[in-house]
Amino acid sequence: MRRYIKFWGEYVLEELGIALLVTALYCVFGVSFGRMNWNGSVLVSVLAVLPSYFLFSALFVHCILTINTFRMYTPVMLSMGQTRRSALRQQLSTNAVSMVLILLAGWVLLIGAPKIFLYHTLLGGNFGLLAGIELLLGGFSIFMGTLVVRFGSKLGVLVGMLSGAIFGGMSVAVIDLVKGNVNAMQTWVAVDVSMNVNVIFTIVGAVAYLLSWIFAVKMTRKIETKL
Amino acid sequence: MELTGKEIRKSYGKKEVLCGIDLTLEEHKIYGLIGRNGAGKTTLLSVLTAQSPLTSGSVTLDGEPVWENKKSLSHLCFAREISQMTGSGIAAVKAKDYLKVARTFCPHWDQEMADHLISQFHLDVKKRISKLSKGMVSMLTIIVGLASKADITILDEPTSGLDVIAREKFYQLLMEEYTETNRTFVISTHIIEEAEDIFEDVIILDEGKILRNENTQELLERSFHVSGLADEVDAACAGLTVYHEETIGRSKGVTVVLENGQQIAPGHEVKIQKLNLQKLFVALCEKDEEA
Repeated sequence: MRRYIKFWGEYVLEELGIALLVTALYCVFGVSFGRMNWNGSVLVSVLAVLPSYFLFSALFVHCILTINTFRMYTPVMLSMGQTRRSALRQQLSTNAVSMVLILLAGWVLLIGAPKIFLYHTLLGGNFGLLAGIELLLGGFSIFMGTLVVRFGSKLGVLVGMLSGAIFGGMSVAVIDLVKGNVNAMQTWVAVDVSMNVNVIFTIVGAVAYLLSWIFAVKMTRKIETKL
Repeated sequence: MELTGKEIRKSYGKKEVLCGIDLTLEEHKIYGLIGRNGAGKTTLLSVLTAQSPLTSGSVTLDGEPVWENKKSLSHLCFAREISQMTGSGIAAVKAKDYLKVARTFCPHWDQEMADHLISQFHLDVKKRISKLSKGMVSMLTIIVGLASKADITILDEPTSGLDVIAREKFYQLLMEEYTETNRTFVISTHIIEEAEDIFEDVIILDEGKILRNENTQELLERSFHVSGLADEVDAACAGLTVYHEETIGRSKGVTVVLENGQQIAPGHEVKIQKLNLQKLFVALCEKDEEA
């Protein structure tokens, strides 16, 4: 059990490291495309957008790595004598831990940090909306990862292209949408929705995430191992 | 510890790849699994180690089913060939990360042995699997198989791509490990001539069926190549099952495997030669093809 925790713990840390790297890349793109407010210090401007960029990076990396992990680790774990149930349980548990950390980061960055740094939050403080989107995308990545494991690498190419297009497009949209205002240390995003929308999104996201788990369990019951 | 397969059938769509195989792998032996390309060797090994589901039949380890049974699977290791194709996810992984996965999930993993084997084979573990040569990938498979310390270890084509020196080293390491631990090994290979000396038992598979499953030396002691004039050969081999006939003019050569109580009829002018495992295998498979 300790070996497994160490292994998957390192995986989660690697995911965090890659998310930080992608955040740095987003900041570079943001500066390069002039999305930062150049009236003051670039550093302060970057700090203003950092929470939003990090949240999105973490989600982006989490989803891509989920698909890749299913594709890569499932057959390898089965070839090393793991049962299908155990391999899936470990991957889904790790996925859930990452998802909780991302949701926690979202809550801290939307509620805690703004009070310290005095900036308007991403999506106008609509944590429910954000959580719903995160869970929806998390469930989507588990669904895609399961399809790749079940139906092989031909589908993997399609999944890769689709995921790349979705997340690539979202990346461009986020970099474009999230602007840092140096003077007020604010992140401006023109989205503000009602509480009902927050609740609905959270419920839909949670249901989608749970359904993706059920889908993964059902579809991997009898998969064949191919390295 | 015995791994038993009963009436193993495996189909992919309408094609039946394994046709009702009964097999018992006893402990403390080295088995050789030989067969032509597409005979079903890898499929059989996959099914025995629950890597692939059966269509019908059963596989048990000391009476316990193997499928989705962590306890049974902890005694098994199937070190299979790794695809280096770029489309395969595993090809992007570094050798050291692959070994890290093995270290995590193989319950009896011996890291000291793995390190020793890495240095023996001069394997560059920092390279991605896709960048390794075919021989190096085989070495990686061998390292996983040997360092897993599983009671029943199956190595699928471990010598594929290895040069002759590396193959000799592998056989030496295998025998050392076997002598020290008495583990059960199943080796599938196409390089039969080299490997026959280490196989205690040989399993010959062809078109999803087992042609022979017996002690290698006993089988070879009953197998002969009989040659001479066609009439003499026919008379000498009357009543025996003849495999692989070769006829050149009036001369003929046949392969026979004597069953209980049988013998080559004496008093005929024929040349009787012992066979090696490779020649016997060719004869048995060609006979099956003709049938």
